[in-house]
Amino acid sequence: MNQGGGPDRRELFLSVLSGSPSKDIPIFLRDLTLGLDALNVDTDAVFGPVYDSKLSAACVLEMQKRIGHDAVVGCIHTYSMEAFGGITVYPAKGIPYQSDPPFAEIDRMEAYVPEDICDGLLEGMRESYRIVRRKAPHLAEIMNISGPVNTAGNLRGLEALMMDIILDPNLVSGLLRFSEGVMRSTIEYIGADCADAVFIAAASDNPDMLGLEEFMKMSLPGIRNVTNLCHEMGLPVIFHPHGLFSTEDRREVLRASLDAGVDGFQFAEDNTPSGILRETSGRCCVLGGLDAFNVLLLGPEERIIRSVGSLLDSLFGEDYIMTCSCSLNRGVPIKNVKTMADAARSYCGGRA
Amino acid sequence: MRVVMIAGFPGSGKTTLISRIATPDTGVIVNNPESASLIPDNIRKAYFPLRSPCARPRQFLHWIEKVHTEWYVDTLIAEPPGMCTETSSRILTQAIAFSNGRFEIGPLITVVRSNVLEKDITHDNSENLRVRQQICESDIVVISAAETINKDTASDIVRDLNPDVEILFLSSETEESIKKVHAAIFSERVLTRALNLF
Repeated sequence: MNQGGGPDRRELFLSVLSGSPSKDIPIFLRDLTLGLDALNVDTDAVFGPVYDSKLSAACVLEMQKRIGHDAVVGCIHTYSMEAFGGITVYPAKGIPYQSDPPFAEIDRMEAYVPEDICDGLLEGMRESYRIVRRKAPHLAEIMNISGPVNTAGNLRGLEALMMDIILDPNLVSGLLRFSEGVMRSTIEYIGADCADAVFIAAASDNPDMLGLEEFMKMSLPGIRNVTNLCHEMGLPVIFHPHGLFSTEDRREVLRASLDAGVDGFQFAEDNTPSGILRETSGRCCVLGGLDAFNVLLLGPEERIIRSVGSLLDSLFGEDYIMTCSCSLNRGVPIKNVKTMADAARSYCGGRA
Repeated sequence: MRVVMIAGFPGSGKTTLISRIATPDTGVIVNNPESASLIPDNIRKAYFPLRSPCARPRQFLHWIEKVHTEWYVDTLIAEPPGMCTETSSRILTQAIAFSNGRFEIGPLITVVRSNVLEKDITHDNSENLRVRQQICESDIVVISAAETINKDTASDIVRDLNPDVEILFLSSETEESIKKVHAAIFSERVLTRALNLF
């Protein structure tokens, strides 16, 4: 695991993602807004009133320079729901959050089509991906999008969506169709010329929230369809649902998730690597790792190093890309992230 | 302001316990509107809107900031946002990391319904894994609906997972545990176990 500066890092990442394990384990942080801390700029400096692509790309690249990871999300990220009339708040030193989901009043959905996602904001984000690609062609560039239920929750408001699931399944079907359309449009818009792979972030595509049956019925068809689209475009797909997948009683739901054809599966908090590997070995690259909240946020250094060692004891030699349990956002101490990356490189250097 | 979380599965008895402890100078946030309706109206109360799991620590922090600046209460008793099946320690540790000492985070109290412990919780299914995790990360475990449970057996099960935990039994017959939970909430006791877990 070398510092991610050489010309081979992108190739290495894609090779591992395609099913060739390496003792030089690639690192992918999925640092959606942490780059803002790397350059110490305000969140609203990137997001408003016009998305600042150059500043966004500079944040991404500064973070990569400090940590040396092998794959980046090519822009400072947000929900992009403004395209449908939603309101996102950008606190100066905070993380963007949605204050008003666009389809809280469901009738408003009729005024839009999924392709409307390709607005000025997404154009600015795409330009950031392009700048990162031009300036750092040796890095893998991963496009981050929300999963089907995640997107539906962003559009409708998650609480309203959960009630809809109980009270109005037809409405949910319509929302999920719209969500899949949004995912497809985004992938075609950004993925076509600036991404090496697509990452489906899916905290609400979560069997613990939806139930196993609903997860398989609501999330996985969209994942399968979008994965097929990505494969037609030559893009591998990483799926990152939250929830529990590693216990015996979740084996079937993990298997069904892999059956969607994804190339990588990232497990979230509370899953055991051994439970995940039971199904992914020989089928799919596995991603995941340190608990982003309990371990990485709080430290201290010794605990991070110990946790990396314990994780890699389970995953070294497997078809594995190192990530945390979830995305990294501003506020996580960058020195802790560096400790994690250095500990991983040191582990691999000692054992490669 | 002091913040104390009372965690546990839906139906474990969190809100019932809170409704017996909260006083008019306490703030309460529960995890759904139905639970909020169980809290007496003379207590300042709210509920967490549902957010995706990775947003919940931020959501919790946002709400305690809001309570701190708008409610003027000394103590906030909160359930975890979301489904109450996970992330309690994660939420509290993040609150500590981001609050810069403005909030004192009290002990993590988890309510476990007695019938959960009458099953074999060592069997590795998702419910048991979460119950074990909840017990493991708590400073205090309150076993609810404890009228008929064998207290020694239940204590052994809990202590196997968390040797240092304080165990309290809650039943309709006794007020004793209520007083002990009350004392833990309104004391200077702080979150400990979750910070020592790793």
